[in-house]
Amino acid sequence: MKRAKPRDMTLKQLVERFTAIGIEQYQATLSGQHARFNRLFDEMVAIKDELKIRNGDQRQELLSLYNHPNAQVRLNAAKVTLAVAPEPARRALQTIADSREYPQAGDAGMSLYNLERGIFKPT
Amino acid sequence: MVEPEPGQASRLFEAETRAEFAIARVRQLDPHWRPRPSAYESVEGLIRAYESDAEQAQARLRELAAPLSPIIPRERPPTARERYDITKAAARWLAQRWLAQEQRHVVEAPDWFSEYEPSVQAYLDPPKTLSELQQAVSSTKPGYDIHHIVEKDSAEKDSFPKLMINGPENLVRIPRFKHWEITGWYMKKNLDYDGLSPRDYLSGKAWDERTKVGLRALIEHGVLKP
Repeated sequence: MKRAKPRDMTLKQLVERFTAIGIEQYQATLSGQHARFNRLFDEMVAIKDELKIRNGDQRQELLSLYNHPNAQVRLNAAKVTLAVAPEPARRALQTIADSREYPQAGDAGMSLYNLERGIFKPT
Repeated sequence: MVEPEPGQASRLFEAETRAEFAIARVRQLDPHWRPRPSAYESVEGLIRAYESDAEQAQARLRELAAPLSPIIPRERPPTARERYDITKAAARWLAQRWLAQEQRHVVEAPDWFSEYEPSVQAYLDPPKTLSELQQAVSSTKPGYDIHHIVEKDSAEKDSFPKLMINGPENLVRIPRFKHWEITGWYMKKNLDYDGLSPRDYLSGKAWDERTKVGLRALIEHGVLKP
């Protein structure tokens, strides 16, 4: 069955798909399937962009995912919400970086470093 | 179905308990999950069905990535990918909990796992200094790989001299699974770099910038002391 396009999804569906993508990316990472991870990344960006243009920016809806049991879901949610909730998002990244749950902990630490250096500019 | 023989009864009980425990753990996160039903006509078949249930539950747990202890199947998984997926999951789980040297052998592992144990143990190494990691390059050790701080292929593509790429300052010996994780990080698209992978972002950049990123990646992945 063909998946609905982000613009045709409800807000709830967008958040659910965003969560599912993180879980699939976690599994792809564990199995070293980087091409699959990257395909999912493109889909995640499309969802992020759709949330951003809805009703003045609905990325706030992803803040509830900071407590998700899957580390990749938490990591994606923190990065995507940096522009709308900078301080909570940075704290979420720091928590992941401190968790020793690698490789997501390493990725989160690199994001904080890239924010500090001005390389990562959340929009 | 015939009654289990005395030896079978304890194995049956153990398999059933193991399966029930694993399924219960999945249902804490996914209340409606159930394993695929298995057909069986003997006690041995029922034991295999319970073992299959436990392994399916473990696979589901890995998908959900709940921080729960991994179950290592007794039978050697048929493919290297499956074996590595399981050993990496075990290593990650231990890395989040491991506290002291004497706790390193808490895993009750089947025989096939011993081949992978050096990689799991290496993954639990605490961070080391740069000179320790560089000096270790002179000898090989099971569970460890030689890692280029500035990525080799990308540096070659950008025509950096081989003497720099393979020079002692650019080489460190690090735990194999960490080597794979860092290499994976370089290959995956990342919002930090406007959707580029770190490897693509660094393409065309100066040696110093690549070194900065390479060293920081080692720190953030718990390999190099800050």
